[in-house]
Amino acid sequence: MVKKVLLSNEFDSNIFTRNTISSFFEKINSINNKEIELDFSRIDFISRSCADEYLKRKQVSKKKIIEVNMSKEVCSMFNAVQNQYKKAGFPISFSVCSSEKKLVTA
Amino acid sequence: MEMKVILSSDDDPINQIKQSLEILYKIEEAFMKREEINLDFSEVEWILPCSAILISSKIIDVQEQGAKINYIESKNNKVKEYLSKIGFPLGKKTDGDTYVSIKHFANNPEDRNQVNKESNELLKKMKDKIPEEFGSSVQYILGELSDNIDEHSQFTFASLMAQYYPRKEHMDIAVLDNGISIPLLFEKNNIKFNKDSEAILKAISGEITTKKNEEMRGYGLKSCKDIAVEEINGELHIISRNGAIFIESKKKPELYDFDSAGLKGTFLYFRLKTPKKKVNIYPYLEG
Repeated sequence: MVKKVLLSNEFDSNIFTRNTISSFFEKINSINNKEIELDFSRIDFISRSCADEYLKRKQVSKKKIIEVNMSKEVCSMFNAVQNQYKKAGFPISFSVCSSEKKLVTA
Repeated sequence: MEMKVILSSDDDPINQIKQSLEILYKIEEAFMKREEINLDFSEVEWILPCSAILISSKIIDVQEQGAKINYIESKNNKVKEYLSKIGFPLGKKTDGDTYVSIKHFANNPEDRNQVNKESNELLKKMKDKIPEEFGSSVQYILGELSDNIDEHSQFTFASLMAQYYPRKEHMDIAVLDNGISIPLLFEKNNIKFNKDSEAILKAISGEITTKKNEEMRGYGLKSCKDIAVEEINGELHIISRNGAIFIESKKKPELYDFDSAGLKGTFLYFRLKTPKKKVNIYPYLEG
């Protein structure tokens, strides 16, 4: 069964600090569901540091994590960080949003 | 001890920051001697958020340690009213149309989401005061600064304030923490530097991270500087321990090192000019 999580209930409308991402992943990694749907609606902004932390935490998580309702602004930040990884040769083997062309794919 | 507050009446933050640091030093000196302090603002004709934040947080710091401080208000009614409106020195919950008043908060180590919550509150208050030409630049700067304070500074106390000047078309944002400072953080991580100002310069180069075995970190301050100075044509002032850097668009950074009047912690002051067209931050984030 898929566990659905509305992120604005966890973070307010802006995600600014790595600590909030770390504690959030500790929380979702400890739940029983294998598949988790993260609803980004009402998240206006994610900082670069948090997008970086999110991607790294997602990569090592054993859960299947699916992102939905991501705004263009949030998606742009994830894409910027993934492009930064690509330039630095840092491997991230998935993508979190697909509304823009500049995307590192699996 | 009588202490006359002298602040230049021009609009340049550099002068007021230097003058405020002198005042902080004198407050500390008087406090160490256990003297009662009479802070005299009577001749102040103009005060910027940089001075308001620096002086107010020092007042709270020494008051919490038992110091007695009295004030003599400015003879200038506009300054007197402004300081009252922005909640000088204790801070205020309510805000005005163009400013987010002084906010002080103590660190709660039990709450890992505290800085995120405080930053969200500040941004909510700022949101309707930020012209849309700024795009997401203010969110970005606030986000990276919040994360730096949360991750690295080991602060016990932080202060924030923002002021938009519609006629002058710029926004000033002040963020102060009393944490371990950039130079001390570098010393603890065996990162070499000669002077404190050089440590700050290294911190904004984007090439240094204090998190071992973690790639893709250390870009926060650099990208804030690039967006504020290059994209928005603004200014950035950083004071950390005894070092200071002033950066303006198209100019070489000015480095200063203080013999005595430094700061416990780190102070960042952004002056962002209202952009002519909507800012796109993303080209500055890809390294």
